[in-house]
Order: sequence, then structure tokens, then C-alpha cells
Amino acid sequence: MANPIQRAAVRRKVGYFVALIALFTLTMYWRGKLTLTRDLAATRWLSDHSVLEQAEKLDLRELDQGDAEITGSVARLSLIGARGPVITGLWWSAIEKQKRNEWHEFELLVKAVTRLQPNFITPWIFQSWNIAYNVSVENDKLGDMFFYIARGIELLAEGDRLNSKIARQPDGTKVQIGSPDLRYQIGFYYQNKFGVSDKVQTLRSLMQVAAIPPGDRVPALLNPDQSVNADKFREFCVAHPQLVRRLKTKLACNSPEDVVQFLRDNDKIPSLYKPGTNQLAEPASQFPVLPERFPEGPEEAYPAASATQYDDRFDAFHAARAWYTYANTVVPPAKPDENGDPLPWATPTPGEYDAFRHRVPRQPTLIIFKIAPCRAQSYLAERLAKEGWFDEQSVWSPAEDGAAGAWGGTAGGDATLTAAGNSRVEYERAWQLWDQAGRGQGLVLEPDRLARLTERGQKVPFGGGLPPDLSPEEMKAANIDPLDMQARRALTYYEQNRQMTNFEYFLDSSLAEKDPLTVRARRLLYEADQARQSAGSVRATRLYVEGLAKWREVLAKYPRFHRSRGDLVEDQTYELELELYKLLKEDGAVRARAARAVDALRALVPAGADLETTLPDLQVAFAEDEANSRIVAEQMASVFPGLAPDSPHQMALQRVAQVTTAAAAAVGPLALTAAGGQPVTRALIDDEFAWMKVASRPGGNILFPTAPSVDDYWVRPYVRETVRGRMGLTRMSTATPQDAPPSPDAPPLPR
Amino acid sequence: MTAPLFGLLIVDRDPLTLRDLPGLVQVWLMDAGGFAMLGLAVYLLYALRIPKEQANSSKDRAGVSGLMLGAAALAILCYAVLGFLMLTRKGGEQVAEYVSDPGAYRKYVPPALSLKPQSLALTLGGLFAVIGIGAPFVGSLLKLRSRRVFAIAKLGFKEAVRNRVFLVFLFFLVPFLFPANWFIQIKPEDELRTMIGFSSLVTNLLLTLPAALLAALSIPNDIKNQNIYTIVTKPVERFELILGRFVGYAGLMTVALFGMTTLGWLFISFGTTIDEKAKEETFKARVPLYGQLSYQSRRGLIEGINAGREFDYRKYIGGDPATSQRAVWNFDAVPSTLSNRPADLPVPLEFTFDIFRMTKGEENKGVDLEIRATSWQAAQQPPADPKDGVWRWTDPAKEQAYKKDATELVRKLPGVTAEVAESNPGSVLSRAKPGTPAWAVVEKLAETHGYYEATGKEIFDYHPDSVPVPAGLFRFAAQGPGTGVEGKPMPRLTVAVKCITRGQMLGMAEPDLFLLEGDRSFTENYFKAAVGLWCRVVLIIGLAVCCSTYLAGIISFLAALLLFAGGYASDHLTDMASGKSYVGGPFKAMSQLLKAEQSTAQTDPNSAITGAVEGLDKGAAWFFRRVINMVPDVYSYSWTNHLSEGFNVPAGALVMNVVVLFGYLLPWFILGYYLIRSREVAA
Repeated sequence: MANPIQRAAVRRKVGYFVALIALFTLTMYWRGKLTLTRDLAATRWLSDHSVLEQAEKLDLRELDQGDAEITGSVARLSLIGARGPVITGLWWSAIEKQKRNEWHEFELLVKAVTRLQPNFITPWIFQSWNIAYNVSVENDKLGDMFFYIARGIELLAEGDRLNSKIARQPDGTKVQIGSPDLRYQIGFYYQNKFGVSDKVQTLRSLMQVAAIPPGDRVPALLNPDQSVNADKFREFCVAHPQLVRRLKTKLACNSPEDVVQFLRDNDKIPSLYKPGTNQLAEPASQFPVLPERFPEGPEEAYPAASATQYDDRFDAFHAARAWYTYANTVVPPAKPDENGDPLPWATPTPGEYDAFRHRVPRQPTLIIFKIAPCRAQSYLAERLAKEGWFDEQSVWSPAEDGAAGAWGGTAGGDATLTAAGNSRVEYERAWQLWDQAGRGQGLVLEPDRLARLTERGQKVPFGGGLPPDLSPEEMKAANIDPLDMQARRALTYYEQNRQMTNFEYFLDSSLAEKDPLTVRARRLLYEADQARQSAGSVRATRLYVEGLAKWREVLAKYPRFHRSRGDLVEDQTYELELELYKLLKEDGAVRARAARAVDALRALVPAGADLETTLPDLQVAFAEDEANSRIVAEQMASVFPGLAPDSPHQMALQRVAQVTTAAAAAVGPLALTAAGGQPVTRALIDDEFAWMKVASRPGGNILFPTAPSVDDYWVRPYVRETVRGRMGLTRMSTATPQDAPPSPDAPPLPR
Repeated sequence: MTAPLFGLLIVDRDPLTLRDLPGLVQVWLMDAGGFAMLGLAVYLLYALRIPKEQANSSKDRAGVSGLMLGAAALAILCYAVLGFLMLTRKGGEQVAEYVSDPGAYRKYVPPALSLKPQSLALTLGGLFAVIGIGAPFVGSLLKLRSRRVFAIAKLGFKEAVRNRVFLVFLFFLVPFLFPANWFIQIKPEDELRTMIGFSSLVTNLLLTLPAALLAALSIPNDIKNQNIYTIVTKPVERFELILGRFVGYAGLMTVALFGMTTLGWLFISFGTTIDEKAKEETFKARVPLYGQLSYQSRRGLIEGINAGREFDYRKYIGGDPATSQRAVWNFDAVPSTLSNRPADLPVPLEFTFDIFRMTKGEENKGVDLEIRATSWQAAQQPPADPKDGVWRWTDPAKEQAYKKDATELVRKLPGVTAEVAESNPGSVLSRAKPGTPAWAVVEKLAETHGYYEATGKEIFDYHPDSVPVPAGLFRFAAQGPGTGVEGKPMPRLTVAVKCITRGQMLGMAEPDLFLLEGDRSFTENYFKAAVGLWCRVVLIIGLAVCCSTYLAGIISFLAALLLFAGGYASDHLTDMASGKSYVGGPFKAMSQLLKAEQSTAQTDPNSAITGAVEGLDKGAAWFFRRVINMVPDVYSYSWTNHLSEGFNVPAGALVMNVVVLFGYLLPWFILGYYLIRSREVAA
């Protein structure tokens, strides 16, 4: 038997051991690793207050914050509390590396900074912007620029993965939550860098190349002797018409060899595939990176299980739209009125929305945030129209410039390409999205609802603008019905939100642009522009006249589109007219007419008068007149016959028919032919229907027309002046200040 | 085709060469001499104050010789002369030239030997002070026995091995077993660069930290555990303790470094698949020949335009077809490797420029350059007419002769019309490719006239490119005396670069253009780069051992680490010491932090606080000026950039690394010698 001291030591050790076990077990309960029965009130209370339970309730567990990231967690823990200074040092080093253009090291440091604090949103946004914008623009080689834009976007997408989580709502249902800012920024980068940036043609092309399997690019297009395989290249053109067209028309890839060289130069860009294989990479490693498929956007692009999703139609706007829609899944819905219908309202403040389920983005304003998917869709449609893909009938041949046979032309001839996507279809979708967003966010109010709101709102005594934010007690004291106040505020936000988002324009333009009539007009004008650029002035003039006649029909059919906010459509219309004026200015008949007028002027003004600038001025004036006359003649031939019988335009047609018949009686049946009738029509346009050249309807009436109202002009005079000024076509004023002596030898101003 | 991103080497400071040695020795004597004088004064005051009745051991530990006293007297005399010269403002260095932007980037220039009286007095004073303080140390060195030193070294080595220290080094395998491109997407051409950078970082950490720990803890632990008695009771010199420990740990770390370097090299060479682009850029060791850069125009020498970049390492010239601005690199000598090159082997002229765009330019299009390489016989001069951008030969007769020959030779080329040969032979010559008949003409003209021009060379921002320069140009340039008018020496070879594209600016620093003398092997370069790392390890071991002669183990570790880490902040310390830091000194920074002010916030110049803060910052600057000499130049031992960018590590610079290392450690060893001698570790 051990002595008393030894026994005491054993007892003490056993006591320590028991205490250790007890304390350890207690901590297991306290941490929630072991659960107590919930049958008793006391144990239930204890269970509810375990660390785990509270952390889950408050959404504080690291695993609840998003994807677990093992290496980052290990690094954070190994810093034993020195994370702050380490991150500060890394951040400083990263900025230094950036100054020195040491990009690869900079990127590694940025990675480290974001990984060490993955749930802090700002560094993700700041540094991804830094890479995608500041770093990328330092690279003249656009393959490198593309690489860094992709890296910036991928960084944000990684941030989104680490900050997206499935949260349990108080009722037990699970919802997906994430940072709207991260998601929105990804969409914005796609839209901005691949949609509207300076180097957009190349970047957009690279984006498409990234979606083509590497094995289908250079290796598939070359013969063993490294020459281009004509048949394979033709197949490539058929499969990727948008890409090939852009490369040829915008990026001067004038031969198949140039196209292959472009693909070769950019063979190792970030793509959807594992390097050098046709096997899709893991979703997180794909570029373009896309959000996981989510219930609110079943039609949006997602990391495809197969390559079939990414055909030639897919571009950055699809990716942008997917991310915008994904971002919108976590923002608060529109405020409902008493009937549950969405009410136009401001960005909700904390307390006005479910903070557990929803997040309010830092920027932009919530209403702009919400219409972002529609905007991306409109951009997509605009892009297709700009590139000449208007509808299903739009075709393009790579050999359009006469280099027949060079573009895969074999026995079957040169490839004629038809794109799967076109602007008409995309505008149709855009209109649906705008309409849906308008109704869902209170940007569209049906007339009776608007009237009800107006009626209620008028009962609120305060003057114009947003009324003061009164508490229920203050409203009661002022004898104001809260619903009246709500109506008044909603009306103010209705105007404000529509103005802020330019909603009317986008809704009306998508409505107009999806119309086959608009598509036809657009195509004619596009072809006219192409003909003008390839020096085919006669064809270009004809196409412009036809196109502008159709375009005026569109403007007449869609008056809200015509008079859209900001005069954008009128601007575009006048720019197109100016192109026609320029062509006609060089027309022989116009020049001769101007020369005759100057000769006549010389006879009228004193000898020595300065007529040096008169001839060009007259050429411009006559060209304008000629252009508008031709457009009206074209309208008479192709547009007016389809109008209502009581319209002034039909009456003009009747008058033309009347005069032509009279002329036929006088000079014979020649006047009834198209060639013979033209002078009659033109004479009548000049003499009796001159208003048609500039306006959609006359002032007064058709029999006694006066000057058209300003609102009836196709392009209002002030818009014309603005456009002319912007394009440098307005002659600078030669008037000298009244107190300055006139300069005797001032040179004539250049035109 | 995308040009590879090779050779983006920023050289903040040129590697030291043997030519810099005299200047460095002089500065070392000035700096180390100052500290030596201080130490000598303290030592003499202490030693002479010891009462005669003290024990002999105490007297032995603080012995004073006649040499010390004499050297101290001479040193004091020299410093007195210096003081006199400074007071009378005689014999000093001239005031530095005026610079328009004092805060702008200025390349480090190694100190040159100065024979001005003030410098000489300071140098001599330092020399005598070092002799005075070093006399007992040198005397002790004479008593050293390698047998004893190596026995202690062996002991240290064995202790470390027994402690399983080498297991730490296995972490070195991490970057190779788990390469970075598994975790992040790296541009193909950056693969090897990233791998080298990461492995270098890991090696650095794995060697320096354990080395510092081992070295700092060894002597204090020996004293604490009383193991030291087993040594000091033997006839062992005290300094042999320091030297033995130093050699032992340095040996251990050398073995570890060699192992890691070999393993790293094996992995990179045989163990991993590296992208071809990366190999093309990095898996080599270019031997560059750098020239001296100047910016010139019709106004003569100009400063180069500051385009406003934060990192103002580069200066810019304007781009225009009619501009007379040129970036001119002068090569004072033509090495035999170039002048003896066969005619069919042109010399690559490689360059990397920064393009600062004033306009958007054309999509996917770079800017065009005109590059003109001329020998000293074909000297060029800018035009006098402001509208004329063409530089002409200083000797019109030579220009005529060149044009005549060029016309005749070009006319004989197949496919060239007489009209082209007559009107613009240069258009044919500047497009000539090596191996073609046109290149033979280029070669011949270069060898007879010393002139070559490449026009319309398209380059991209930060994308290195090259043009071939005919070998004949170098042969021609190597001939003759290489002097101009009045026998003034001229650069043997000049390369002038002009930016032709209107509205863009071209930025360059001196190392951005070089002639490629040749390529050496990556393997050799890999091991040479390890020498720099070895210097760092030896440096920290030396510091830690010396500190541990007086301080406790962990304190020695921290002190050595602080000094070592201070080397990484040497630029910042220099800024603070010279008062150039744009955020002000430490006291201003503290004041701004407390007041939550931006660093750019205006301060009230009349405020008492501002005055106090500025005064304190001046004091701090004075303090940093003294301290900065104690901080090692850690950056100069880093060759990772050279290795990862595929540039040869100059062997001469490695020799200078070692020289500077021991020059830096010597005063520390002297300090260590006195400290260990003064410690009473055994009865």
C-alpha cells in the first residue's frame, strides 16, 4: 500500500482527471456538439442557448457564409491573430507590384488578400475592378487584356461562391442568399468590357473564341502542311458566322489565313475548356464564368454540362443578363399596395424589408439594379442589329467584297452564312423583359390605377414634389389618410423611377424594334451604309432613300418611339439623313442646279460681292431638298398606298393621280408610266406638298397647308441644329462684336 | 502573333562590380570608422578607468595597447582636420546638380572614390579608428587555430542535426509537390516565373528563420546549460567560440541550401511539365550588354518626359514622324564576343518599352519605332530645323558615301526597281531579314559605314521584342581609336530609338534595351542565384551569433531579425533619413493618425504642434541616418528576378555580394569579439 502522500497524489490526479472529463463534456453540450433532450423546458432552453444553435440562428458559422475554403482557413488560423498586419502588408505589396507592372505577382498577392478575409465584400470588388480595368488596359495586346479582364471577373465569381449560402428561414425553409453587389458587378464587367468598351470588337471575338472547344479551333482548320483546310474552314464559318463576320469586317482578317492566325495568337486564352482539350472545365474554372442554374432564371445561361449551350449566339450580354438576374434574386421585392400590386417606391431602408432574406445593394440605386437584366437584353439586340443580323433572312457572305473562292469556296461556292440569333428575336425578348419589369416594379401603371392614385394623391395638401415623411400620428393630426399619402409618394416615385431608368424609351424602342417593319427599315439603312463605305454611291443613295422612307413609316407608326426622351431617335434619323445629303451633294444634277443658282445670283448682286461660300452652301441646300423629295416620292410609291383613305397622304396620292391623268391627256400615255410620272410627282411635291419633306402632317389642312407644327417634324429644327453642331457642320458665326472694328482682310471661314 | 513576355526585368540598381570596390571601401571606412571611433572612445574610457587593484582577468579583458592609443590619437587628429575643413568650407564635395523634381525616381549609383580633402580626412580617420579598435581583434585572429574552430563548428552542426532541424527543410517540397497552377490560373508564360518566385520565397523563409533561431540560441543556451564550461576551460580563444558557431551553422545551412537548390533544379528541369511559352521566356540566361541611356532632341540633352506614372522608373519621349526626340543608348566598348561574331550571325537587340497612350489609337495595333544603330565613325546629330525630325550624320561626306553605296548595292538586288533604289534604298534595307540577299547588303554597309536602321518596327506595351543588328557593325565599331574631334573619346556604338506613331509616348529606362551577348544555361543561373540566398543566410547567422554574445537567446533572435527585416525597408528608411518621405517622418505620421488626417492634408505652418512635430522628425531623420548604416542591404543579394526573367546572374556581382557581406559582418564580429571577451562565463 502506498504511503499517505502517494495516496493523496493519486486522489488528486483522479480528481483532476474527472474534472477534465466533466469540463470537456460540459463544453461539448455548451458548444452544441452534444444535444440535450428538448422535452423538458430547462434542457430546451439550454439547447437553444448552445453556441452552435445560436450561431446557426444568427447565421454566424463560417460554413454558413458560403463555400468553405480550406487553404484560406488554414492560412487564417496559422496567422494566429496577426491577420490584420499581414493583410495590410500584402495589400501594400500588391499596390507596389501594380505600380511596377509586375502583374503575375500582383495577382497572387490579391488572391492572398481576398482569401484571408473572404467574407469582406469590398476587397473582392475593389481588386477585381483593379485587375479587370486598371491592369487590363495596361496591355496593348488584346489577348493579354482579355486575360486580365477574365481574371478580374473570375475573382469576383470566386468571391460570390465564398459568400453565397443556403440559409434557413425562421419557418425552416431554406433560401439562397448572397451578395447582390458581387453578382451585379460581374454582370456589369461583362456588359461593360465586352459590350461597350474601346476595344470591344476584339474582346467580343475573344469571348466567342473562349466558348469554342480548343480542338475545333486551330488544329481542326489546318492541313498537315499547315495550310488552311478549305472544307473545314467553311464548316467553321457556318458554325461561327457572327465571329467570322466580325473578324473580317471589323478586325481586318481579310483571308482565312488571317482568321486562323487570330485563333492561333489567342489559342491559350481563358476558356470553358481544360487547356488543350475539348473537355469542359469545372464550372469554377470556366470562362465565361456563369452562375449556377437558379429557379428564378431557368432560361439564363449557366455552366453547361455540355458544350451545346454555347453556340455562336452566346455572348457577354447573355452572361451579364444571367448575373444580373441572379443578383436580383436576393434584393427586396417592390413594395406592394393594399391590393398586393407593386407600387412605385424608393429603395427600402432597414426595417422595411426582410433583412434575413434580402440584401440591398450598395450601388446602383435599387430600381436601376432591378432593370439591369432588361438593359443587357436590349444591348444584345442592339449589338446584333449593328452587326447586320436583323432577322432570319439576314445572310452574309465572307466573299462579299468579290474575293470569291477565298473563303472556303470549293465546288459548292463560297460560304453564305446565316446566324442563329438576330435582333428581331432579341428585341422581342427585350420587350417582354421590359414589360415584365415595368409591371413588377411599378414602372407601368394601368390608366385606371394611375387615375386612382392621382385622385388620392391630390388630397394630400403639400405642394409639388415628394411630401414630407410624416409619422402615423402626424398624419392623423394633419387629417391625412395614410393611403392618400402613400398614393402621393408613389406618384412621385413613379415619375422619378421612370425618369431614372429611362424606362419609357427602352420599352417603346423594344416594341418598335421588334416590328418587322422596323427590321426592314434597319436592314435597308444598314445595307446603304455598307454600300456607302464600299464607294457604291448610286446604290447607297437608292438604299438610303428606300430606308428612310420606311423609317419614316416606323416613326409614324410608333410616335412614342419617335419622340422618345432625349431626342435619341431623332438624332439617329437626322444622322442618317445627313449621310444621304452628303451623297447627293456630289450628285451631278444637284451640282448643276447649284451652279445655275450661283450664276443667277451673280447677275443679281453687285460685282465684287463675295460668293465664294455660296456655291457649297447651295449644294448642301439643294442636296437636302433633293433627298427629302426623293424620300417623299418613295413614300408615295411604297408607303402611302397602304394608309387610311382619309389621311392627308392618301389625298396627296389622289392629287398626283389626278394631275398625271390630266398630263396623260395632254402629252400622251407616257405620263402614266413610272418614268414619265416621276416629274409630275416631284413637281407636285415641290409645289403643293412641300411639308411632306420635313413633317408628317401639314399645318392647316391639306387643301390650304401652312407651316407644319414643330411637333410634326420628322426631326425638329433644334435637334437638327444640335446634331449639325455636334458634327461640326454649323458654320461659325462671322458676326463681329459690335464694339470691335470690322476686319478688312478676314479670310473666309473654312467649311 | 503574341510576343512572349520575356525579359521584363526592372533593375532598380545595377549590380555591384569590382570597379566599384575602391569607392565602397572608402565609404565602408567612413561609416564603419565612425562606429569604430565611437567604440574605441567608449572602450578606452572604460579600460583606462579600471583601477589597478582589479583582478588580472578584468585587466586582461580590457587591455589597452600602444597601437590602440596611437591609432586613436591619429584618428582624432584626422577628425579634427575634417572638422576644420568643414568649418572653413574647404575641400568638400561639390553641391549636387539641380534636379527639377527632387522626389522623382533616381537610380542608385554606387559611391565613387573621392580624393577631396574632406573625404580623405574622414577616410583616414575611419581607417585609424578601425585599426585602433581592431588591433586586439587582429591579435586574437593570429591565435586562432582552424582545428579548434572546426571542432566547435562540428559540434554546432551535430547539435542541429540531432535536433531534427533538417525536417523543417522538407517544407521546401511544398511548392513543387503542389504547384501554384493547381490552385490559380496562371498565364502560360508566367508558369516558371511563378514557380521560381514561390520556391525562392519558401527557401528564404525556411533557411533564414531556422538559421536565425539556431544561431541566436546556441551561445546563450550553452551558457544557460553551463555546457560552455566544457569549452572555455580548454585553451580556446573566445573568438573561436563565435567563429566556430558561425562556421558550423553556415555549413549546415549551406548543405541545406545546396540540397534544396539541387532538388528545385531537378523538379524544374525534369519533374514538371512547363508550358513552352514559359520555357521560351524563362528557361534561359540571357547575357545582356547594357548601354548608358540619355534622352536627346534638337535642343541637346533633355531630361525625358515624366508621363505621370506613380512608378517613375521610366522617362518618355514623344511620338511623331517629325519629332527629333530620341532615346539614345551609348555603348562605350564592344566586347570581343560581339566584334568577332561571324557575319551570318546578327546580334539581337532586345527591348521592352512602355507605351503611354495619349490617344486610343487603332485596335490591336502597337506603335511604330525607328531604331538606328551606328558606330562611332558614323556619329549622328539632331536636326536644327524644328520641323525636321531626321537625325543626320555629323560628317555629310560620310553620309553621301553611305547613300551612294546603298543605292548601288540595293539596285543590284533582285526585284528592286532602279527608282526605289535611287529614291529610298532604306525602305529595302530596313525590311531585310537575316539570310536574305538584302541582309547581305545590310551587313556589308554596316561593316563599311557603321550604320544600320530598322524602320516601322511595331511594338506593344511591355512586350519585349528584338531586331537583329548586323555583326559587321560591331567589327567596324571595334576598329580605330574611338575618338571624335579633339581626341575626345566617343561611345563605340550608339542605338537611337524614335517613336514614329503620332500622339503616343514611348517610355524607357536604361535596362529596357540591351544587346544580347549570348545565352548561358538555366542550370548554371539557377545555382548562381542560390549564392545570393546563401549570402542572406550567412548574414543572418553572423548577426545572430554576434548579438548572442551579449544578449539573451530570444532577444538576439529578435534583434537579428529586426536588422535583417530592416534591410527590406531600406528604401523607406533612406527616405526618412533624407527627409524625402512624402508622408513625412514618424512623428508627423503619428500626429496625422491621431488627428485622423489624410497624409496630404495641409498643416498650419504657424502652429506650435506642427513646429514640434517637424523638430522631432528632424531628430528622427538624424537618428535614421546613423541607424541606416547598421541595416544590411538585403535586396542586393536577391537574384530571383534575374532568374525568373531569364537573365544571367553576373559572376562578378556575386563576388561583390560576398565581399560586401563580409565587409558588413566584420564590424559585427569585432563587436562580438569585445562582447564575448568582456563576459565572465567561466571562473
